[in-house]
Amino acid sequence: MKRLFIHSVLTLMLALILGLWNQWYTVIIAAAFSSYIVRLKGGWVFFAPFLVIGIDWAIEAYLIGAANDFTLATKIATLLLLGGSSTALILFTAALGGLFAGAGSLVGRSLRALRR
Amino acid sequence: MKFFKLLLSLAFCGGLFYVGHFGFGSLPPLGKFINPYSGIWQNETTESEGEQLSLDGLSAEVTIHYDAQLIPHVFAENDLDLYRAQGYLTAKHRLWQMEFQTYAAAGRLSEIVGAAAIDYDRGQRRKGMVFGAENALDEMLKDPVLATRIEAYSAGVNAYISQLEPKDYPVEYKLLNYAPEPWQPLKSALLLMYMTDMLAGGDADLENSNFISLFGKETFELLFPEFLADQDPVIPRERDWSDFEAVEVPEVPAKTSAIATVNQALEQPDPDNGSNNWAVSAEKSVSGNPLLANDPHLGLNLPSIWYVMQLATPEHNVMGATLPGALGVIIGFNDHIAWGVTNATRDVKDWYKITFSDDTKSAYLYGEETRPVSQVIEAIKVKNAPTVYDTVRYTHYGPITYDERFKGDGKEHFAMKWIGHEPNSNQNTFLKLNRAQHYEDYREAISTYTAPAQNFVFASKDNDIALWIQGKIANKWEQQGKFVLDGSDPAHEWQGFIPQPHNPHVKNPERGFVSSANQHPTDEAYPYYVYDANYEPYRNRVINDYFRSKDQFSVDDLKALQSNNYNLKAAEALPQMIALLEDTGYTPQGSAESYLNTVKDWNYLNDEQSIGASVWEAWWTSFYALSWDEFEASEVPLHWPDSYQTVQMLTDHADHAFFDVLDTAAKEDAAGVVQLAFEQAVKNLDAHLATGKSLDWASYKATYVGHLLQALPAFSRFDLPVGGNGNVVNAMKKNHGPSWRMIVELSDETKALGAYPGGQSGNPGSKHYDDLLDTWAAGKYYELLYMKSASEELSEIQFSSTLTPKNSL
Repeated sequence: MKRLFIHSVLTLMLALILGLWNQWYTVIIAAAFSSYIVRLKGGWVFFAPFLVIGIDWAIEAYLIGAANDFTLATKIATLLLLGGSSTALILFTAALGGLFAGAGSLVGRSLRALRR
Repeated sequence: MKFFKLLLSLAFCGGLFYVGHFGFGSLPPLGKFINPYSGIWQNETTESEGEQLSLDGLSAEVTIHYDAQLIPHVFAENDLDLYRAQGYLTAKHRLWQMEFQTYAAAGRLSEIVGAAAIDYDRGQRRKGMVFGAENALDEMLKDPVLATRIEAYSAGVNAYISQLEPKDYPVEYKLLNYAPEPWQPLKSALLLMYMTDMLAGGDADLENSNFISLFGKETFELLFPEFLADQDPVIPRERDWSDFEAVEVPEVPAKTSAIATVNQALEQPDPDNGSNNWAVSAEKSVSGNPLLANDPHLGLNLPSIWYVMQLATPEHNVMGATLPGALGVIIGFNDHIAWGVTNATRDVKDWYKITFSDDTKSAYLYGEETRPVSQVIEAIKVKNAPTVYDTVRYTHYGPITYDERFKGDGKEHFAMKWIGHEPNSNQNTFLKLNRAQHYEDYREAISTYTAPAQNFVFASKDNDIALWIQGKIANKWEQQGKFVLDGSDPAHEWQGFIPQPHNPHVKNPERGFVSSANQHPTDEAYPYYVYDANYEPYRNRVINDYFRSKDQFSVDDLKALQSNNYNLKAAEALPQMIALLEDTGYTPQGSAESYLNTVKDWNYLNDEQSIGASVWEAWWTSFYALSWDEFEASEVPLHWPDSYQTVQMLTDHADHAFFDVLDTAAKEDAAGVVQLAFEQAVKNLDAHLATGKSLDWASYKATYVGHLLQALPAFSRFDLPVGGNGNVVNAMKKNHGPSWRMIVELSDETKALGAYPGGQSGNPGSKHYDDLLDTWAAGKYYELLYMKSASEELSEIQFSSTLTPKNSL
């Protein structure tokens, strides 16, 4: 549990710091690095960063969207065939962020395993 | 095993990274696109606060006040600062659009959208779009004042672009995964070429020649008369031309055209690209102030083609519609005058059949001599694919557009001679109009203007109204360039231009108004040869009859006229069609009976709720298509007869062979086609009803304003509740219509109304993306805030920005 907490905080901190570089794939690096440093068991390797980054992206997307009545979100949700639902777009955003982070995390774990 | 796991995880992660960063198929790069820190969520914002910014190259402070419509009111200390600020602000609100349109003009869309655009790009290159823009730019740069202004504008655009980070790029860049490139003065010239192509890029020469080969000259004269009966030309018929001295028209040579057949031709611009404008004299105006109105009819797009601005220095103060990419105001008003434009179509593009001296195709015959061609290798970069090369040969006429490599059969070659390629400084005309105070200023401003020829309407506080039909127009012999010309015959060359003072014009006519609606410029008495394949036959008569209907007009009357839905075409055709249908002994059953009764009771108004208008349109559309089915079936491109002549045929030549429908065994006359068309219309109307939609005209027509990227549904607006139609003063078609409505009253303080189908912001995430659209659709207007000075404190101002010189901070 403690590891899970440390891993999650580390992932989030790294994502936010590397995020200043404004490259979307820094979430992959953040999650990979965390899993290289902190060992997680089983499915948590994927799901912990999936949730951390997913929630981070969802909150950020929600805050930006809510400040502008989801004017663009509704349109992008139409464009991406999500039925014009801004909620669906937020979930989609979160899922993608989570997927990228989770995939990065798996690479970090494999590298860590190789080190031993 | 561990190693295998690493490989597996790397492959998984790498695959996701690839899709996230580069996209897949038609998908945008999803990670880049969707992440909330630099993707599209960053575009989820509405312009609501000003900025304090230091801008390189400014000489003094520039103040910008924004009103509730996000119209910037720009106050600069001098002209160069003004145009620098205009470039900066236009880019700030319309960057993607202004760049995209210049890519389209230059034939570079494949760079952005990929191989699907190669054919379009080749067409643009073969039309010599860049050639024309370069010629214009060279001419503009010869004028040192204009040159510095264009450079200032360009620097202003670049000042905006250079401060952008990828996260700030407009949504469309993120969607298509590319980045803005630096602006250059050439792009302003390209934007003007884009307009020239849209408005003066059409012709029917090749199509006319094809028609003659298929059906003969006599039928051609019948279907395509140069002057239509009962037209009300732009210049009133009362105008006699005896004041023109030394009119010289070239003699018709012995041979007047080349025999040619063209298999395929480039797509023509929409023939309904046109407009209405008029000015009412002080005496004819209820308030005693001259009035002026204009509504240009163009494709309805988002971001809108127009961007409204007020541009002021201590020396001048102008407001109106600007074109993103061009300097100054294009249609607008100032403290002294107002002006507007409608397209003055003329045949300014001719085709010359080229005879090469030998198979190397490096020289062509011209009189007794041969002349070399020059070759331009066009490199068309293609997204995700290798560059495509296309060699275009140039003659002294212009580019050989059609040859063995492009839309040709390899046997015939056609070179284009187009006024769009002439060196010009048309940009200057608008900058001079922005500053004009009196009739003479206006006359001087437009005198050098070349293309696209426009009906420049004018009104001033000196109580002058005027209209000049201005363009650089070749002085042609009778029918020159109506058909394909022989490039080897020097007599087929353009023999010079109509002297500018002899362009048709009228000032303060007795009738108290001037107007234009893309109709024929003059009557037959005008001493020069006038031809175009697309003169509009209906709006002019409705507008001029309106102004003859009473003594005086108010601003409200002008609003009503801009929204006038009277369908003169239907009024002239429908009674005959109903009579013919009844003559056939046709007995309508079921829904057909109710449609027929509805259209019989119809008042000829294309109002939003009208069902009669829908029935008429369905019937007319089928009638027109069935009447001219020979054109549809033709293997070579043809120009179709216009509505007016179609009705004339119905009236006077009901037995003409063209009325026989190819697909039926029976031999139809006009009445037969009327009946077949009605039956087809009934099917179409029933099918529309079956989709659950109503038969109200607005629903049947389903007007939409489409995003510039092929009307991407997410960024477009559909099913607008609007009446009107093509050939109606309120020229609102399915995706085409009044792109800017302006009415100006030249009272002591200039008052103006305006509306357009879009919004000031090009960002689909902004509330100002389409916030003006509903007002426009309702036929309503905004009172334009015309500020006198930067220091005025007005409640209408929402927020303000200040641009300061960089070295002063």
